[in-house]
Amino acid sequence: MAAPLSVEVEFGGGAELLFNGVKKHQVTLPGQEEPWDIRNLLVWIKKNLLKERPELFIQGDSVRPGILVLINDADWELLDQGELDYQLQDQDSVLFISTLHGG
Amino acid sequence: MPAPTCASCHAARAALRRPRSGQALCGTCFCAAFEAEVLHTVLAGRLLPPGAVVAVGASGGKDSTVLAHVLRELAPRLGVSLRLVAVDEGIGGYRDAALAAVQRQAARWELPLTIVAYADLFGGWTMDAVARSTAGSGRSRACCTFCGVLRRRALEEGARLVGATHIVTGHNADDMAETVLMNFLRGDTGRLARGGGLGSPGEGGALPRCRPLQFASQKEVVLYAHFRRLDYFSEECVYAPEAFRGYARDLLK
Repeated sequence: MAAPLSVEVEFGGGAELLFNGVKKHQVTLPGQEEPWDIRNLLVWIKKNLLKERPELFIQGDSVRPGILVLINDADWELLDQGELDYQLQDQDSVLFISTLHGG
Repeated sequence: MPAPTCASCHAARAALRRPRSGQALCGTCFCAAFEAEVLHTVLAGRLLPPGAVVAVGASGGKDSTVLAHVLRELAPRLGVSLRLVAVDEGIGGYRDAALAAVQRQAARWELPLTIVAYADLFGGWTMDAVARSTAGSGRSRACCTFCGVLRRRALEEGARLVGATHIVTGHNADDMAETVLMNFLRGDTGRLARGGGLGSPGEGGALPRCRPLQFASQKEVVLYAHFRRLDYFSEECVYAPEAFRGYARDLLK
Protein backbone atom coordinates (compact mmCIF):
# COMPACT_ATOMS: atom_id res chain seq x y z
CA MET A 1 0.00 0.00 0.00
CA ALA A 2 1.55 3.29 -1.14
CA ALA A 3 1.18 6.21 1.27
CA PRO A 4 -0.54 9.44 0.15
CA LEU A 5 1.72 11.76 -1.83
CA SER A 6 1.89 15.53 -1.89
CA VAL A 7 2.96 16.76 -5.35
CA GLU A 8 2.92 20.03 -7.22
CA VAL A 9 1.20 19.90 -10.61
CA GLU A 10 1.72 22.90 -12.87
CA PHE A 11 0.39 23.83 -16.32
CA GLY A 12 1.91 26.37 -18.70
CA GLY A 13 2.28 27.52 -22.29
CA GLY A 14 -1.50 27.76 -22.66
CA ALA A 15 -2.32 24.33 -21.14
CA GLU A 16 -3.53 26.18 -18.03
CA LEU A 17 -6.48 27.45 -20.08
CA LEU A 18 -7.99 23.95 -19.78
CA PHE A 19 -7.72 24.23 -15.99
CA ASN A 20 -9.65 27.46 -15.37
CA GLY A 21 -6.49 29.44 -16.06
CA VAL A 22 -4.90 28.14 -12.83
CA LYS A 23 -1.23 27.26 -13.31
CA LYS A 24 -0.09 25.79 -9.98
CA HIS A 25 -1.99 23.08 -8.16
CA GLN A 26 -0.74 21.64 -4.87
CA VAL A 27 -2.38 18.25 -4.75
CA THR A 28 -2.54 15.28 -2.42
CA LEU A 29 -2.79 11.90 -4.11
CA PRO A 30 -4.56 9.40 -1.86
CA GLY A 31 -2.86 6.20 -0.74
CA GLN A 32 -3.57 3.25 -3.07
CA GLU A 33 -2.51 -0.32 -3.71
CA GLU A 34 -0.09 0.26 -6.59
CA PRO A 35 2.51 3.07 -6.62
CA TRP A 36 1.58 6.38 -8.24
CA ASP A 37 3.09 6.80 -11.70
CA ILE A 38 2.47 9.42 -14.37
CA ARG A 39 -0.03 7.12 -16.09
CA ASN A 40 -2.19 7.09 -12.93
CA LEU A 41 -1.59 10.76 -12.34
CA LEU A 42 -3.02 11.62 -15.77
CA VAL A 43 -6.19 9.68 -14.95
CA TRP A 44 -6.40 11.50 -11.63
CA ILE A 45 -5.86 14.90 -13.32
CA LYS A 46 -8.57 14.15 -15.88
CA LYS A 47 -11.00 13.30 -13.11
CA ASN A 48 -10.11 16.02 -10.61
CA LEU A 49 -8.51 19.04 -12.31
CA LEU A 50 -9.34 19.11 -16.02
CA LYS A 51 -12.20 21.52 -16.65
CA GLU A 52 -12.83 21.44 -20.38
CA ARG A 53 -12.03 19.80 -23.70
CA PRO A 54 -10.09 16.82 -22.27
CA GLU A 55 -9.03 15.76 -25.80
CA LEU A 56 -6.79 18.83 -25.95
CA PHE A 57 -4.80 17.50 -22.99
CA ILE A 58 -5.07 13.71 -22.99
CA GLN A 59 -4.99 11.30 -25.92
CA GLY A 60 -5.24 7.60 -25.14
CA ASP A 61 -3.41 7.07 -21.84
CA SER A 62 -0.80 9.79 -22.46
CA VAL A 63 -0.67 13.53 -23.01
CA ARG A 64 -1.55 14.99 -26.39
CA PRO A 65 1.46 15.22 -28.73
CA GLY A 66 2.97 18.70 -28.42
CA ILE A 67 2.61 18.87 -24.63
CA LEU A 68 5.97 18.72 -22.85
CA VAL A 69 6.27 17.04 -19.47
CA LEU A 70 8.95 18.10 -17.00
CA ILE A 71 9.41 16.17 -13.77
CA ASN A 72 11.36 18.14 -11.17
CA ASP A 73 12.35 20.47 -14.04
CA ALA A 74 13.76 17.68 -16.24
CA ASP A 75 12.22 16.35 -19.46
CA TRP A 76 10.41 13.11 -18.63
CA GLU A 77 12.15 11.43 -21.60
CA LEU A 78 15.43 11.83 -19.77
CA LEU A 79 14.57 9.82 -16.68
CA ASP A 80 15.26 6.11 -16.20
CA GLN A 81 11.85 4.48 -15.98
CA GLY A 82 10.61 7.78 -17.31
CA GLU A 83 7.58 9.05 -19.19
CA LEU A 84 4.37 7.27 -18.19
CA ASP A 85 6.22 4.74 -16.00
CA TYR A 86 7.94 7.31 -13.78
CA GLN A 87 7.04 6.59 -10.17
CA LEU A 88 6.12 9.72 -8.28
CA GLN A 89 7.85 10.56 -5.02
CA ASP A 90 6.49 12.77 -2.26
CA GLN A 91 7.15 16.50 -3.03
CA ASP A 92 7.78 15.90 -6.74
CA SER A 93 6.78 18.63 -9.16
CA VAL A 94 5.27 17.83 -12.54
CA LEU A 95 4.99 20.55 -15.16
CA PHE A 96 2.97 20.26 -18.38
CA ILE A 97 3.82 22.88 -21.03
CA SER A 98 1.84 23.17 -24.24
CA THR A 99 3.91 23.97 -27.32
CA LEU A 100 0.81 24.27 -29.46
CA HIS A 101 -0.45 27.75 -28.68
CA GLY A 102 0.21 31.01 -30.43
CA GLY A 103 3.44 31.95 -32.05
CA MET B 1 15.85 7.59 -10.83
CA PRO B 2 17.09 11.17 -11.04
CA ALA B 3 18.18 12.70 -14.34
CA PRO B 4 21.83 12.15 -15.44
CA THR B 5 24.52 14.80 -14.98
CA CYS B 6 24.89 17.57 -17.57
CA ALA B 7 27.28 16.52 -20.37
CA SER B 8 28.65 20.07 -20.61
CA CYS B 9 29.26 21.41 -17.09
CA HIS B 10 29.29 17.99 -15.36
CA ALA B 11 27.87 19.72 -12.29
CA ALA B 12 24.13 20.26 -12.57
CA ARG B 13 21.48 17.65 -13.29
CA ALA B 14 20.54 17.44 -16.97
CA ALA B 15 17.14 18.84 -17.88
CA LEU B 16 16.74 17.64 -21.45
CA ARG B 17 18.32 15.58 -24.18
CA ARG B 18 19.00 17.58 -27.33
CA PRO B 19 17.29 15.91 -30.28
CA ARG B 20 20.09 16.65 -32.73
CA SER B 21 23.23 15.82 -30.73
CA GLY B 22 21.76 13.40 -28.21
CA GLN B 23 23.56 15.37 -25.46
CA ALA B 24 21.89 15.63 -22.08
CA LEU B 25 22.29 19.21 -20.82
CA CYS B 26 21.20 21.23 -17.81
CA GLY B 27 18.96 24.26 -18.31
CA THR B 28 21.81 26.77 -18.16
CA CYS B 29 24.09 24.95 -20.61
CA PHE B 30 21.16 24.29 -22.95
CA CYS B 31 20.28 28.01 -23.08
CA ALA B 32 23.91 28.91 -23.81
CA ALA B 33 24.05 26.31 -26.60
CA PHE B 34 20.74 27.53 -28.02
CA GLU B 35 22.02 31.12 -28.15
CA ALA B 36 25.29 30.00 -29.76
CA GLU B 37 23.35 28.19 -32.47
CA VAL B 38 21.24 31.24 -33.28
CA LEU B 39 24.43 33.30 -33.44
CA HIS B 40 25.89 30.72 -35.84
CA THR B 41 22.74 30.80 -38.02
CA VAL B 42 22.95 34.59 -38.29
CA LEU B 43 26.71 34.73 -38.89
CA ALA B 44 27.00 31.76 -41.27
CA GLY B 45 24.04 32.97 -43.32
CA ARG B 46 25.26 36.58 -43.20
CA LEU B 47 21.71 37.47 -42.23
CA LEU B 48 22.29 40.64 -40.21
CA PRO B 49 25.38 42.71 -41.11
CA PRO B 50 27.01 44.94 -38.47
CA GLY B 51 25.22 48.26 -38.27
CA ALA B 52 21.86 46.77 -39.22
CA VAL B 53 18.75 48.23 -37.63
CA VAL B 54 16.64 45.15 -37.03
CA ALA B 55 12.87 45.19 -36.72
CA VAL B 56 11.72 42.19 -34.68
CA GLY B 57 8.17 41.14 -35.55
CA ALA B 58 6.79 40.80 -32.01
CA SER B 59 3.47 39.13 -31.27
CA GLY B 60 3.91 38.47 -27.57
CA GLY B 61 3.89 34.72 -28.34
CA LYS B 62 6.64 32.23 -27.52
CA ASP B 63 8.60 32.38 -30.77
CA SER B 64 8.98 36.14 -31.09
CA THR B 65 9.55 36.43 -27.34
CA VAL B 66 12.44 33.96 -27.54
CA LEU B 67 13.76 35.57 -30.73
CA ALA B 68 13.79 39.08 -29.22
CA HIS B 69 15.38 37.84 -26.01
CA VAL B 70 18.14 35.90 -27.81
CA LEU B 71 18.90 38.73 -30.25
CA ARG B 72 19.09 41.15 -27.35
CA GLU B 73 21.75 38.90 -25.81
CA LEU B 74 23.58 38.68 -29.15
CA ALA B 75 23.15 42.31 -30.31
CA PRO B 76 26.48 43.57 -28.92
CA ARG B 77 28.38 40.76 -30.68
CA LEU B 78 26.48 41.23 -33.91
CA GLY B 79 26.76 45.02 -33.78
CA VAL B 80 23.08 45.48 -34.56
CA SER B 81 20.36 47.52 -32.89
CA LEU B 82 16.85 46.23 -32.27
CA ARG B 83 13.34 47.65 -32.59
CA LEU B 84 10.20 45.77 -31.66
CA VAL B 85 7.37 46.07 -34.17
CA ALA B 86 3.97 44.66 -33.21
CA VAL B 87 0.94 44.41 -35.43
CA ASP B 88 -2.58 45.06 -34.12
CA GLU B 89 -4.82 43.01 -36.42
CA GLY B 90 -7.98 44.23 -34.73
CA ILE B 91 -9.09 40.92 -33.20
CA GLY B 92 -11.20 41.74 -30.16
CA GLY B 93 -10.26 40.02 -26.91
CA TYR B 94 -7.26 38.23 -28.41
CA ARG B 95 -4.83 40.78 -29.75
CA ASP B 96 -5.30 43.25 -26.90
CA ALA B 97 -4.00 40.75 -24.36
CA ALA B 98 -1.12 39.74 -26.63
CA LEU B 99 -0.11 43.37 -27.17
CA ALA B 100 -0.08 43.89 -23.41
CA ALA B 101 2.52 41.09 -23.24
CA VAL B 102 4.65 42.82 -25.91
CA GLN B 103 4.45 46.09 -23.97
CA ARG B 104 5.66 44.37 -20.80
CA GLN B 105 8.57 42.85 -22.74
CA ALA B 106 9.55 46.17 -24.32
CA ALA B 107 9.60 47.82 -20.90
CA ARG B 108 11.60 45.00 -19.28
CA TRP B 109 14.16 44.77 -22.08
CA GLU B 110 14.30 48.55 -22.66
CA LEU B 111 13.63 48.14 -26.38
CA PRO B 112 11.65 50.69 -28.41
CA LEU B 113 8.24 49.35 -29.44
CA THR B 114 6.06 50.48 -32.33
CA ILE B 115 2.55 49.14 -32.89
CA VAL B 116 0.97 49.34 -36.34
CA ALA B 117 -2.75 48.63 -36.75
CA TYR B 118 -4.59 47.10 -39.70
CA ALA B 119 -7.36 49.66 -39.17
CA ASP B 120 -4.94 52.56 -39.78
CA LEU B 121 -3.04 50.92 -42.65
CA PHE B 122 -5.90 49.36 -44.56
CA GLY B 123 -8.68 51.92 -44.62
CA GLY B 124 -10.45 50.84 -41.46
CA TRP B 125 -10.37 47.09 -42.14
CA THR B 126 -9.76 45.08 -38.97
CA MET B 127 -9.60 41.27 -38.93
CA ASP B 128 -12.95 41.21 -37.12
CA ALA B 129 -14.42 43.18 -40.03
CA VAL B 130 -12.81 40.78 -42.55
CA ALA B 131 -14.23 37.81 -40.61
CA ARG B 132 -17.73 39.31 -40.59
CA SER B 133 -17.62 39.92 -44.31
CA THR B 134 -16.42 36.39 -45.15
CA ALA B 135 -18.72 34.58 -42.66
CA GLY B 136 -21.34 32.42 -44.34
CA SER B 137 -19.84 33.04 -47.75
CA GLY B 138 -18.09 29.70 -47.77
CA ARG B 139 -14.81 31.57 -47.54
CA SER B 140 -14.70 31.86 -43.76
CA ARG B 141 -11.78 29.42 -43.58
CA ALA B 142 -9.81 31.95 -45.55
CA CYS B 143 -9.64 34.33 -42.57
CA CYS B 144 -6.04 33.41 -41.79
CA THR B 145 -5.13 33.69 -45.46
CA PHE B 146 -6.19 37.35 -45.51
CA CYS B 147 -4.52 37.95 -42.16
CA GLY B 148 -1.22 36.44 -43.32
CA VAL B 149 -1.03 38.72 -46.32
CA LEU B 150 -2.04 41.82 -44.35
CA ARG B 151 0.37 41.06 -41.49
CA ARG B 152 3.31 40.66 -43.86
CA ARG B 153 2.53 44.08 -45.31
CA ALA B 154 1.90 45.67 -41.90
CA LEU B 155 5.24 44.42 -40.57
CA GLU B 156 6.97 45.90 -43.60
CA GLU B 157 5.27 49.28 -43.02
CA GLY B 158 6.11 49.22 -39.32
CA ALA B 159 9.73 48.34 -40.02
CA ARG B 160 10.07 51.25 -42.47
CA LEU B 161 8.45 53.55 -39.92
CA VAL B 162 11.23 52.81 -37.39
CA GLY B 163 14.00 53.11 -39.96
CA ALA B 164 14.82 49.39 -39.98
CA THR B 165 17.16 47.89 -42.59
CA HIS B 166 16.17 44.28 -41.84
CA ILE B 167 13.15 42.35 -40.58
CA VAL B 168 13.36 39.20 -38.45
CA THR B 169 10.50 36.85 -37.56
CA GLY B 170 10.28 34.05 -35.01
CA HIS B 171 9.41 31.14 -37.32
CA ASN B 172 10.90 27.92 -35.95
CA ALA B 173 11.73 24.57 -37.56
CA ASP B 174 8.25 23.16 -36.90
CA ASP B 175 6.67 26.16 -38.64
CA MET B 176 8.92 25.58 -41.62
CA ALA B 177 7.96 21.88 -41.76
CA GLU B 178 4.26 22.77 -41.56
CA THR B 179 4.66 25.22 -44.41
CA VAL B 180 6.43 22.68 -46.61
CA LEU B 181 3.68 20.13 -45.91
CA MET B 182 0.91 22.68 -46.57
CA ASN B 183 2.45 23.64 -49.88
CA PHE B 184 2.80 19.95 -50.75
CA LEU B 185 -0.84 19.18 -49.84
CA ARG B 186 -1.99 22.12 -51.94
CA GLY B 187 0.30 21.22 -54.81
CA ASP B 188 1.83 24.69 -54.66
CA THR B 189 5.02 23.94 -56.59
CA GLY B 190 6.01 27.58 -56.85
CA ARG B 191 6.13 28.03 -53.08
CA LEU B 192 7.78 24.62 -52.60
CA ALA B 193 10.56 25.69 -54.94
CA ARG B 194 11.02 29.10 -53.33
CA GLY B 195 10.89 27.95 -49.69
CA GLY B 196 13.72 26.53 -47.66
CA GLY B 197 16.10 29.46 -47.81
CA LEU B 198 17.07 31.35 -44.69
CA GLY B 199 14.93 34.28 -45.70
CA SER B 200 14.47 36.65 -48.58
CA PRO B 201 17.10 39.17 -49.60
CA GLY B 202 14.36 41.72 -50.25
CA GLU B 203 12.95 41.59 -53.74
CA GLY B 204 10.97 44.38 -55.32
CA GLY B 205 12.16 47.01 -52.86
CA ALA B 206 11.02 45.04 -49.78
CA LEU B 207 13.28 44.96 -46.74
CA PRO B 208 15.39 41.79 -46.37
CA ARG B 209 13.74 39.26 -44.07
CA CYS B 210 15.13 36.31 -42.17
CA ARG B 211 14.23 33.72 -39.56
CA PRO B 212 17.09 33.22 -37.10
CA LEU B 213 15.16 30.45 -35.24
CA GLN B 214 14.37 28.40 -38.31
CA PHE B 215 16.66 25.54 -37.25
CA ALA B 216 15.33 25.50 -33.67
CA SER B 217 12.56 23.01 -32.89
CA GLN B 218 9.34 24.16 -31.30
CA LYS B 219 10.14 22.06 -28.25
CA GLU B 220 13.50 23.75 -27.72
CA VAL B 221 11.99 27.21 -28.23
CA VAL B 222 9.44 26.48 -25.50
CA LEU B 223 12.07 24.99 -23.18
CA TYR B 224 14.34 28.00 -23.71
CA ALA B 225 11.47 30.28 -22.72
CA HIS B 226 10.89 28.08 -19.67
CA PHE B 227 14.50 28.01 -18.45
CA ARG B 228 14.96 31.74 -19.07
CA ARG B 229 11.67 32.38 -17.27
CA LEU B 230 10.33 34.44 -20.17
CA ASP B 231 6.81 35.77 -19.88
CA TYR B 232 4.83 35.18 -23.07
CA PHE B 233 1.24 35.11 -24.24
CA SER B 234 -0.09 31.69 -25.09
CA GLU B 235 -3.71 31.86 -26.12
CA GLU B 236 -4.84 30.66 -29.50
CA CYS B 237 -6.25 33.22 -31.91
CA VAL B 238 -10.04 32.97 -32.09
CA TYR B 239 -9.88 32.37 -35.84
CA ALA B 240 -7.05 29.80 -35.80
CA PRO B 241 -9.20 26.64 -35.48
CA GLU B 242 -10.39 27.30 -39.04
CA ALA B 243 -6.89 27.45 -40.50
CA PHE B 244 -5.52 24.88 -42.93
CA ARG B 245 -2.22 25.00 -41.02
CA GLY B 246 -3.86 23.03 -38.20
CA TYR B 247 -4.13 19.92 -40.39
CA ALA B 248 -0.45 20.08 -41.32
CA ARG B 249 0.46 20.53 -37.64
CA ASP B 250 -1.58 17.51 -36.49
CA LEU B 251 0.05 15.36 -39.16
CA LEU B 252 3.54 16.39 -38.06
CA LYS B 253 3.21 16.05 -34.27
